[in-house]
Amino acid sequence: MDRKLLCSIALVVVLHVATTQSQSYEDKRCKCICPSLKTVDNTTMEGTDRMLIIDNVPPNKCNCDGVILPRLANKIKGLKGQEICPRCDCKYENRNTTIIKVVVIIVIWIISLLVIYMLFLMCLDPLLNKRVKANYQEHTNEDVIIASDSISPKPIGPSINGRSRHFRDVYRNKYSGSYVTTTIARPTGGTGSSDSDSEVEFLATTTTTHYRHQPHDDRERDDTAVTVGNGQDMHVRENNVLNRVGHQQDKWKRQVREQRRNIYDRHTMLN
Amino acid sequence: MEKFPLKGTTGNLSISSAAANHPLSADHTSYQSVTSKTGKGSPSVGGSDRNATSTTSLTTPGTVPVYEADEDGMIDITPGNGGLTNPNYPYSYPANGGGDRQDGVGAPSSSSSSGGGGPGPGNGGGGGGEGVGMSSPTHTRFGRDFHHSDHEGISFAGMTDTSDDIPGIGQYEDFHTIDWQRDIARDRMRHRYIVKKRQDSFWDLLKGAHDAWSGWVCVLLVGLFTGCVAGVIDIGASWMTDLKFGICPQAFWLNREQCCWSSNETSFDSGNCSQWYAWSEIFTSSREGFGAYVISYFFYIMWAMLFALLAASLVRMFAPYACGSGIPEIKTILSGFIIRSYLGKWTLIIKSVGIMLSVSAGLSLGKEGPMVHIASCIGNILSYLFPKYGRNEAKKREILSAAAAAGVSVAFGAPIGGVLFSLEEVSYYFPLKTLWRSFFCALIAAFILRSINPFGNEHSVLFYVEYNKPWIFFELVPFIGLGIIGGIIATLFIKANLWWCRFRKYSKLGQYPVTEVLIVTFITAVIAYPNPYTRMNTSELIYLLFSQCGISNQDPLCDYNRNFTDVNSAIEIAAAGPGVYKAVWLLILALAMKLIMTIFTFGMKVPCGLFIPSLALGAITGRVVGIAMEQLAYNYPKIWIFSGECSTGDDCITPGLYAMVGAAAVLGGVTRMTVSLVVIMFELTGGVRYIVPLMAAAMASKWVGDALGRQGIYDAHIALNGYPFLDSKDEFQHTTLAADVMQPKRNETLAVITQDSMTVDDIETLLKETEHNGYPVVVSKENQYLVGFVLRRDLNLALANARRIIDGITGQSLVIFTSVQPVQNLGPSPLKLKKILDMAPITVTDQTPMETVVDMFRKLGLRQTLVTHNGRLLGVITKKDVLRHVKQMDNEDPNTVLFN
Repeated sequence: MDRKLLCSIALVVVLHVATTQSQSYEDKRCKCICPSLKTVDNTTMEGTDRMLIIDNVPPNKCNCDGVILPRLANKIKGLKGQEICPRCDCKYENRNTTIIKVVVIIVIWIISLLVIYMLFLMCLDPLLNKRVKANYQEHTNEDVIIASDSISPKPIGPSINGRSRHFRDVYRNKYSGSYVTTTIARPTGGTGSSDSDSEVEFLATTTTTHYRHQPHDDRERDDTAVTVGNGQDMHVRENNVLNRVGHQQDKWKRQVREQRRNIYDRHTMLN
Repeated sequence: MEKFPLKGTTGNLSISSAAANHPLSADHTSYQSVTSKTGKGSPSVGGSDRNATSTTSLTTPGTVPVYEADEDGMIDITPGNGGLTNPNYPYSYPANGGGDRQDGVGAPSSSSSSGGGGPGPGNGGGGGGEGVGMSSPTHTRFGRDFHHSDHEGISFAGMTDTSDDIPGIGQYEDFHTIDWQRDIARDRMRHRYIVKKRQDSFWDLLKGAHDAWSGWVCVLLVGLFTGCVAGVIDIGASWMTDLKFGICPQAFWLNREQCCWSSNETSFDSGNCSQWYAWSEIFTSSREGFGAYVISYFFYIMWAMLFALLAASLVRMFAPYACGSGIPEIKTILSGFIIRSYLGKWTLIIKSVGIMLSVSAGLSLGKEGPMVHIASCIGNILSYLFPKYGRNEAKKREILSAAAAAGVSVAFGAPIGGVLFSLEEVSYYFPLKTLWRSFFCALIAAFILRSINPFGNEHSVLFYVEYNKPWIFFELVPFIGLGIIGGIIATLFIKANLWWCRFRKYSKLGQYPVTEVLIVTFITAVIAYPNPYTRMNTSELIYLLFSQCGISNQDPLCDYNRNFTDVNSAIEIAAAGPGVYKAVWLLILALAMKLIMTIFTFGMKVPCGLFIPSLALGAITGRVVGIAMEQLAYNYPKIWIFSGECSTGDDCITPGLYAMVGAAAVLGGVTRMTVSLVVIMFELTGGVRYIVPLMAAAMASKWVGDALGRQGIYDAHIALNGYPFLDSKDEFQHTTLAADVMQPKRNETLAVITQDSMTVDDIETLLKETEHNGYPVVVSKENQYLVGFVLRRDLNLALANARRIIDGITGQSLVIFTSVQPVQNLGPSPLKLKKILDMAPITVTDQTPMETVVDMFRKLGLRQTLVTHNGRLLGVITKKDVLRHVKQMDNEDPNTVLFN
């Protein structure tokens, strides 16, 4: 699931970099800070005014002679240059804006993906668990029916299967159309192309669905999904992937729950 | 680039965590503690009845020992193998276990003569007293058997390549302690196997070469990834920190300084330029004024709250283990403790993202401590690429030590300091080989971060400063004074923080982790914004305090009445302007605010480190003291203490140096580091000449800290959480004996397994009725002579595996731990479990002083040791028993040791 996620990130980053290659920001500078010319003129003590000069010169030219004197040639007459130069502080700096851009975009992507996934888990998971528990029996039955339809042996227990199916369903019902991108964010994003077909169909048919459906309703929906996504092999493979991913996700969730219990409830660790 | 560790480890991590579905099941169990679920001794009574018959049957003439042929190929390198033909030879030099072991094997010969009945204490020896007469025939066989099969006992895990290995053997459960000796022996066996195979074919030669360099490759990869992740965190955090103030619309990914990079017009007041838009500018199109201030204030708070909310809820949702600093836990893990998925990939991701967010939220915390955790996560994940490290917990800790060094190396841009930090603070077992690898790893990580150049200053930390000013000898006095102040501040901080953490742990506050984070963030943001020194990023504040007042420094802190005539010549000493006095007051306010806020922040459920806040506290103190000294020198340049150095008008006192010394002092007081701290500080400044001031301050601070409160913050948090960490710094100064500590106590029976007379059902009943994590294997119930030690987990796995794979294993099958062929078996075929038996458990006698036992636990990294008397097994001392005993002796509550 991470691979998929990272692939999408990498793709976006590459696209970004490719499109905005032309940048107005330079990567090198010579930054000089001098007292302002007035202080040199009057030699007063209140010389808090500073002059900042930034130029793009080679590192060996980054000194008073290379940067400041050419700039101030018209303002300074005669020997002033000798006076002002020792008081200037020049520093050569470089950076890499491309790295900064890529990194910041990656960071934004990661954070937004995590947030979307988190919202998804927070909003749908409790609901999902409750309903799965309530409709467990029905779903198993339903899945068996579907399995016999698609003439394929079920590899692993149907409960997970039913759950992930259900999961998708509720998900669609709730966010019909508005959060299509979240399919990528989900680790279960490996749905086949047939699914996307059915999803389009689905989104077209259900406009304002309430998410508290009756189990009946759900079954109907599932059936439509199966009949619309008519590639049976696809369907089987998708089921396998979903099974595996669902399995992994369940295991991970159990671990996190355990961690949460240790830390937030029982306070045995990381206080 | 981030794809690699994740992809490579998904499978492996799931394998390792698959066995630990319910770590809680092993949570409070203890080895051989008193908790036998049924009444006292009832299972063993039944067992001894049965054993009486079976042992006699063993002594029948039919049981001439038949030795199985070992795979001698595995052990042909072992020295002294052939010299041990005498069965009664005291086996003082085991082939593989290392010479540092005084096995109790020599004891049976003495026990057969002395009879075991005499001075032996009654506990545990109840069954053994009657069986003395039987010991003689058993003894001969025992001795030879032991000698013969010792190789096998240790080599069981070395044969991980062979197909008949039981899956999962050699791993540990969650929240368990590892057995260093056993793991190292396993690795040695594996290594021998590879060396042996190397002559066979070219492919094996290649495999051997790969095995030999895999440690270096692993640390190389760890260094690479650590550098990259640290670069990402640095860049991301600095960008998000500036997001609180405004945005760079032309290139939103640049922070304020980078946005104004090539602008000539940077105004010196706020560092703003025309490309950079403050939030007030975007909404009201004015940069100054009351309305703009209010809007900026509002946005500052809102962004801070948003970041904090994200950090806290991400941590709560995905990886609760990512919260906190992580160093106490890393210390515990490195000392040989298993916390599953504490160093996993989700922890890595969430900790990296979370530390960016929480630093950007303006909370009083730093990213340096979590960097150690992040690096350790990377080390753990990458170690799974190399089975040599991924499958062996003791070896994995070598990689983790190196990774911790890399973490500090990137956190401070101090490779040597990182290595020393790993050596001094976090690591437990640190051989020279690990030192070199840590050095290499830290070097690579620092190099990578340096080439990413996240701050655009050619260094890997923001607050790198360069100094080359001399200091006067008398200045040692204020430096030591700073050390004392630092020690006091640090102790204050530790005590208050611990008090607050304990309050959080036991009160209702702990039930609202996200709310707590939000409240603290809100208060921090509201207080911090008005004061420019708390509003700015803490790293920038440290940089400002460390740096000298040159012409390029426009802060009010440098508002001296001085005229810059030559940037190369020394800056003359000057009277402080009003700006300096104002800045000093603001700094004192900032000190109080930071101290208080850090107390409440450290330990919240977001990723948070401690280095930066402590450095900031110390730097503020030091800078204020430094300014005071400077003004003293300016006003009274002729005092003898300055020994004439200040009369020439040069700037003889550098306040920035005081800030640095103060920072070292507070950090030293908080963490109780000495050597690594000084090295880190001098790597930060690139000046060797300040080592003496830094050393003086660090030492003074440590003394003061040790006098006021015994523990550093990490040790205190380890104690608070009750991690099973046996500190190698403390000395055990009591005169107790092993017999006082061992389990079982008087009137309780020791749960043992006999070597060849228990059935599968017996063992399963034993496993059900007791909760011990391991069982000693003895000759028989009557003759409790030690054969070996078997772990509960291994036993479970082996039994399940046997039931699944081997035909004819029923509940009535005998479980045999010897290599002796069984007598004409009437019942079902026996189950041979010799492979999982540790034939070389460490034993002590009951009269061994606890000081020695504690030392053995520390230095050998034992998980348990068996206690014998006259050669007969009396009991077990586990690490937990030792920890509880140490606590009890120190008049602390022994029940705070929670795990295992």
